[in-house]
Amino acid sequence: MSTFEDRLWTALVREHGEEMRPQPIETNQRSHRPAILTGTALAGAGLTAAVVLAFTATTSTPPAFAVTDNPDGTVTVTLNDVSAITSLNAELARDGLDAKAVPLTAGCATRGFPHPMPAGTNPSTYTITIVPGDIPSGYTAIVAASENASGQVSLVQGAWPSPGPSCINSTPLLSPDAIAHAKKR
Amino acid sequence: MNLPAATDAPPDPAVAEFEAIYRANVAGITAFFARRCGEPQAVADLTSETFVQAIGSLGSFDPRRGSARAWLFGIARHVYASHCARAANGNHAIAALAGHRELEHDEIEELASRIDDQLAGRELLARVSRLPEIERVALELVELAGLAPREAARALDVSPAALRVRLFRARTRLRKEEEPS
Repeated sequence: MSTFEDRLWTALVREHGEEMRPQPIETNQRSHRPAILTGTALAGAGLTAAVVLAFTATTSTPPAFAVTDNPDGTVTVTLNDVSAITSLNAELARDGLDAKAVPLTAGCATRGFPHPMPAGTNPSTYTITIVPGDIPSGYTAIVAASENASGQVSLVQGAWPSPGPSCINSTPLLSPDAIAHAKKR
Repeated sequence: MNLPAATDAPPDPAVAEFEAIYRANVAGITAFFARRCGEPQAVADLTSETFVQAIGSLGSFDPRRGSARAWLFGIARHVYASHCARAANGNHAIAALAGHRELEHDEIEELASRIDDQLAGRELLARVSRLPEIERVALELVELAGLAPREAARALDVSPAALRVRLFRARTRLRKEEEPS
């Protein structure tokens, strides 16, 4: 801490220290300051990205989902629990991003992506990065999530004309043989 | 300056809470003003004014709506705008600030050095001087101050989506200006 910063802090405490203490609040009104150090801790740690995490029952378990604004304008989405899709979508909406997560299910009538978005995609993991500039006008980025028997979540993304489907069929459009044949060519 | 005598009293939790915010952000706020002002006294007083106003509005700060850093940069932006308006009206802008404090010689040297350190930042601001103010500040907060786009949106009181559009426009215009004609 520099001389200027130390002296300014001393002056602030001397002249305004009393104002730093919470003012009495009326009954039934909640203080807005209980978690003030949360933001401070992030800033103090030098983090440049705003991260929203939703934790499951205990803090020792990984977050159910996370939405991270990256300095380059991209948004990284992490989903560890497909049951958190609704909460994830609420956070994406708060973030103002034309994107939503949907489940990949065997019984869904909607198949495939009319506009695949490979940029930033990292399938077969819990994390995917959305590049807002890759979302065509009038489309919504769709992050489709599936969970295998061992609970591992896989994500894939594409774009659909807004508002997009509520699910996507998990059955590949091409048979495994056709996919293998295409890879050989 | 006479510093208060040290005591063995335990630190006040509320003061310690705000001190953590202050220590984490004072350098960034000082740099914000050092990119705009060439006078150490002006940088010091505008920085001080920002924290005085932050203390005054501490009760309305809700960490669930955004980080302390975004909140402070939002205040800093308004402090600077008010300062410019007072100066434009011919008022003695610096003396009018509630946070005014005469600097010691060593502080003047220190802040002069910080102003020098912001040369690249001032050059960037000069290059984008023709952009709308909100696009200029959006670019500055993300590229120079290191705020996440969501934090910058909060500081500028716009939606994250609107901030992205502003950033995209600012970066595109900057690229076009840098291209050889």
